[in-house]
Amino acid sequence: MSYDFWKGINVLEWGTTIATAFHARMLGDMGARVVKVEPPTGDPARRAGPFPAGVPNSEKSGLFLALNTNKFGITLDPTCETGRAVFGELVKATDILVVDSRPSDLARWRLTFGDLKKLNASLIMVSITPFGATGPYQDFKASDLTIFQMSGYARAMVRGETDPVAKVPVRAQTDQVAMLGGLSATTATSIALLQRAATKQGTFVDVSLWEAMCMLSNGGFAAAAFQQLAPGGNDEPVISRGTVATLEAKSGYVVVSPREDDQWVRWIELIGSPAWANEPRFATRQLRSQNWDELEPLLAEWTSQRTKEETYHMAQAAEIPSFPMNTVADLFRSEQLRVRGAFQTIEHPVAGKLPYPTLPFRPGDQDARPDSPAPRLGEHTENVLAGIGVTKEEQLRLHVLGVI
Amino acid sequence: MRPLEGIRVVDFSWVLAGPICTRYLALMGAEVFKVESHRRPDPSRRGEGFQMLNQNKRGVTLNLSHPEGRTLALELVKKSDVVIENFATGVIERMGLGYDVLKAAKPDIIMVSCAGLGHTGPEKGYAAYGTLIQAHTGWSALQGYSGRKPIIGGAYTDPTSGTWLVALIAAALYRRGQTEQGAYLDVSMAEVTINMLVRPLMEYAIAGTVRQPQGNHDDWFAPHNVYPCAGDDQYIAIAVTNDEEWTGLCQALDLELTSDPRFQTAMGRWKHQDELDPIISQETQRFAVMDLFGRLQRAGVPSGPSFDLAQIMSNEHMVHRGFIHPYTDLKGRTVNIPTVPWRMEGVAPAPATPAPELGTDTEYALREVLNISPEKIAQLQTAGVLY
Repeated sequence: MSYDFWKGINVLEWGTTIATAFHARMLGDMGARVVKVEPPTGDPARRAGPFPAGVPNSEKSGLFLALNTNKFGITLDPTCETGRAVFGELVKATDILVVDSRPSDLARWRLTFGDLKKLNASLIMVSITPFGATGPYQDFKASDLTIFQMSGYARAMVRGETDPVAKVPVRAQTDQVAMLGGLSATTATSIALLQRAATKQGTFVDVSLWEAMCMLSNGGFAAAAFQQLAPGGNDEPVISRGTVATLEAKSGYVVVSPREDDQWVRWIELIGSPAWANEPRFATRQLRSQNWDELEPLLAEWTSQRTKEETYHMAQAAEIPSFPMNTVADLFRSEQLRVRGAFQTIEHPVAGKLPYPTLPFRPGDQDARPDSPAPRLGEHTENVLAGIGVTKEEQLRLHVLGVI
Repeated sequence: MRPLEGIRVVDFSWVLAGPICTRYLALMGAEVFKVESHRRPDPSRRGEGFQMLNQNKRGVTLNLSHPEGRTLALELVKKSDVVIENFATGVIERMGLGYDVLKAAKPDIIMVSCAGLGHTGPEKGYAAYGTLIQAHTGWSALQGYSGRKPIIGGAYTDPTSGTWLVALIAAALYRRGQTEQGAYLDVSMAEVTINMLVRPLMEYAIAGTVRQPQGNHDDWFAPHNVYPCAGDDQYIAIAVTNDEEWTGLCQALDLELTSDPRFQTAMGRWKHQDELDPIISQETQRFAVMDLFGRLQRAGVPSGPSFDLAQIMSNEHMVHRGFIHPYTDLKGRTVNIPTVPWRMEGVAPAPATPAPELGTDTEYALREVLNISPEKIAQLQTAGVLY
């Protein structure tokens, strides 16, 4: 479902990364008109899959389909002189240009913010790169793994682990750096649009995936900084051992978090007030955290006799925070998500009907529009170029020359 | 001028997602009133993280269970643009501060209610913390090393939701500017998390497969892992994605592997990665992590040290970009902490001001925003309304 927050805003997306595609999709879902520029050979996500039956098909890649709903798709190579001229015309009719090329490459192609704002003084140009458009690392090579590891968050992932293999800093998989970078860019761009509404001036928004990823740790930075100032000082982390217990259930695991004293009392009552619950070593939140290795198996005695679904419904009925440890497959069976409309079916002319997640909010009295499927390669080239005055004859030339 | 200058926010939110959102709003120029009470302070006051989460905000204490406390909150809403809360579903309505009430008081108010599972549906009342939502949405089951008990990971759902809220509020403010309409936005942290799981969701929808944890490894590329460096607990991440980078890696580490038939092709390296990883680890241990980082980058190999937060705050690149700025708390202690994760030409984030103690700015809010006389303020104090 898409909404009309950004009605009248034109976005031009020129990039090949997940971060860029996700960012532009969010703007499109929120009401902007998004034109995605793909190289004439197609966006790399078209190669990424997953594909039905594992058979590659550039119109059936799940990653591409999900990242590019609500967009118009054109092919164009702005890095050659002829393509650059067409691109410049598009930029003139654009409010937000999103790019992900390295700053040195943009300079080489004469497509920097300085170049483009001469064509459009109110242009907001958003650059999303691993390290940002300035600084000593700006041209360094990076990947999802390396940025994740540099963010400090890989260490948070394994906090409390003691096993030598399990305590090695680990990334969260499935493109989390790119997704968080795209989200961060959306936040910045949205603020930039507010600024522009007041000043009528464009701006350059420089998003660093590394910084976006760091922000997962948020208050952790202050905790670390004050700890350096006064080692051993008063710092109770929000999450300490046992705050969230992952307990074995009949099938899989259930997570339970009776962290506050009143929650703990209700939890002990729910599991039948076993004798050990009165022992002094489990008397306070702090002691329970300290003696977690002994406590965990005692708690699991009760949960292991029940399924994860039974356990969480019973715990929640007693006002104890608890949820099943699910896989994505479980999400399609959730009544809560079904009632909320968290997934929608979109039909694509080649890939067919598939479920896609909807935006994560319900907007009171605003009307929602159904989403349109991801564009086929070059699907809207003709229309979009006609819109900026490129004639059919010129389009044919551009096609033959390999520019579109 | 900052983009949100002139925007006033009443912030009833606690702990993480809400405060993360309002921190960004404050750094972008909004005036944020954080509403607490001595009876129910923000639980995150227990740790130093509170300092960063609540920098640049004003602290107000109101007894919302007192009718006059509720009236004052409503008066503050009338003078504001945005209200945000992340109580359990139904709580704000029971306080008498639900959207219907706020809208009647201020027709174009933008209210954001953020809860674990949202404010509709059979499980809307379920008690939730962000870390539990990570497990519930399938995010946690993807993480950690293969064949082990799943890990919860750090706080993910809360900061992700908090960032989402900023984008949503900015969009609603923009729309209000165009249409003069307010908004009620019912946000589900579970659905925020699901939105970040595009790839595994499509894998299940298209191919029926459920992705398993794989540590630092990758579906297609190898070597792709962290490798130990000299010293204790030092690692470097290396991700080789093509033949050129592989050659670069071998050169940087003086490895004679380019002719080893097992590792000659991308397919071979992936297939034999469990043999390859220990060979690389043997070599990486000879280097200090920052030296190896420079060496690998010069050889064109995607790489990066596994930093801790303190290393990031003193990192030359981060400092150069102005990501790190000084912060002094109310006790006068100064540290360096991050600002916002973007640079905007012509728009500097607000310089850091200290997170408030409970009620630091109650008097300011009443006097300056609500025009209440000092005598009346004293009366409210005595009557237990400002608490």
